[in-house]
Amino acid sequence: MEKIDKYEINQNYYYDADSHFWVDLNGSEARIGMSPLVQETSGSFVAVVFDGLDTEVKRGQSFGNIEAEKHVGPLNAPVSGVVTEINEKVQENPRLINTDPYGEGWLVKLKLTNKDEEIPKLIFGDDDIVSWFKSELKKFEDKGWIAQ
Amino acid sequence: MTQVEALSSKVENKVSPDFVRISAASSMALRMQSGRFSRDFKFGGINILLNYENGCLSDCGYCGLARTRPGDYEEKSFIRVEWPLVDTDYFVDRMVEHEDKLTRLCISMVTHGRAHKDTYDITKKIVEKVDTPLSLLIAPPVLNREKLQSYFDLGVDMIGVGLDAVTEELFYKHRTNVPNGSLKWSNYWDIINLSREIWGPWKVNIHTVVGLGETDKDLIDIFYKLYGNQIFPYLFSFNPEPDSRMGDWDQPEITRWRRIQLIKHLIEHHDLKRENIGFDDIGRIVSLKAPNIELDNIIEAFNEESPFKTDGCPDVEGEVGCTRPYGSYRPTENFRDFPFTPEQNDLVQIREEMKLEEILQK
Repeated sequence: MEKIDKYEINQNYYYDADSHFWVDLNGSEARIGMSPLVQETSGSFVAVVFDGLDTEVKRGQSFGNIEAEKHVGPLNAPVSGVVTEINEKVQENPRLINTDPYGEGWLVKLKLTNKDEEIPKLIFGDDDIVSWFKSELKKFEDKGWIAQ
Repeated sequence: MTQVEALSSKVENKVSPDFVRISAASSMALRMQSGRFSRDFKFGGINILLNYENGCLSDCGYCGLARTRPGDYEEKSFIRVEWPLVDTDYFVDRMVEHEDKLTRLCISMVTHGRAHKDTYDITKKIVEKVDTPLSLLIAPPVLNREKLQSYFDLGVDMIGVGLDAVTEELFYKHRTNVPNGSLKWSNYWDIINLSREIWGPWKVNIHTVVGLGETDKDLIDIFYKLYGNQIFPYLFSFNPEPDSRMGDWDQPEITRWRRIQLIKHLIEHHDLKRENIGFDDIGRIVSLKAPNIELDNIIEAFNEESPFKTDGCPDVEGEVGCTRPYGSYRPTENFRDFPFTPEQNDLVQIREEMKLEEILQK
């Protein structure tokens, strides 16, 4: 884990620059979750809805929706795949995404369908992750989304 | 004091006047809490709520702060979201720091023995440092002429009264004849009239909630009564608070809500006459005549005059300064009132929801 500002960043995972989701790759499967920055700036989550098991999604397409107190948005897949597992705990308690984004707050597991082409598009490696995250942090601060 | 220390959800003797609760949107605007809105718009309406260990002593059936709603006061939501507890001095300094984007401040009292004195002290602290116009949403049971006058003398420029239920019968049903209720309809009107006397025309507003069991006719009647007294009715759409006694009630049907929004606007801004609104035997609006009014232009107004924007106290320019985003609906639902001017796509949606052609007569 690398601490950047107040955020603990797991450098063992891949990151999608658009969705800000992390990808924990394990062979041809991956566990998906939300980066600490985007979970915090979405606010306190009150509901999460997944499209369901066995749903096939393309990279960038929605596999569900998330609702915070003042914000709602789609959950866009960072990689293409079929949903093989849904984290039922976050359905019951969406705030887990806020309190433990890398742990109990993970979202779904996917069986990847386009791994070779898509994984190289994700951000990976200590230096690249740190550099990307710092630049995103600055963007989010400039938009006024982060507490001072 | 750090930001983390200042922002807490636990009471632990942190009560007003030294501490207040602020809305989630307010804490975001003051950068005390990270967050963003689903749609991109400017927000500067700061809502403040008094905080006591035993909470509000009223017990209104629809309110998240009601005495008999399950849970400790500190854990209760209000308007469905958490209201962070903040140190008052720190919060005032934050408002000074961010004053360039603030549009309107409002302190909401609760029914409590200390509410008047604490409201006075907090108001004084704010007006000494912050120039943004300040309203009070007052608790009539704890007030009288002298106390109201003291707020006026401090510089409070608008007064709001949460009447909410628009008929005496409904007021008693939801706010008086309830487990720990004792509010009086007559007391509310005495305080409304005193406020009108002290503040003058168009400086007092009455919160009227659509969806508490009233008829359309009840709403229209009170609008005319209030406008006749140069008092603003502010419109709210009932939004069920989970676990409250009315938690399983439905929101008012969207077509009804849109029509009420439009007709209220026509009365307020275009002098719509009472005889041009037709009702059936159970008080539903069944016809509307709008002679000499360009309805299409009004509905499609891309400016401050839109009938579908949030009702709220103004900023220094006279535009709505208290916009309460997502106050009457969830982020997953369509906007009931808009904290910004509706865009073309929104207007298409509004027209579909309103079904005006069903009631409009030449």
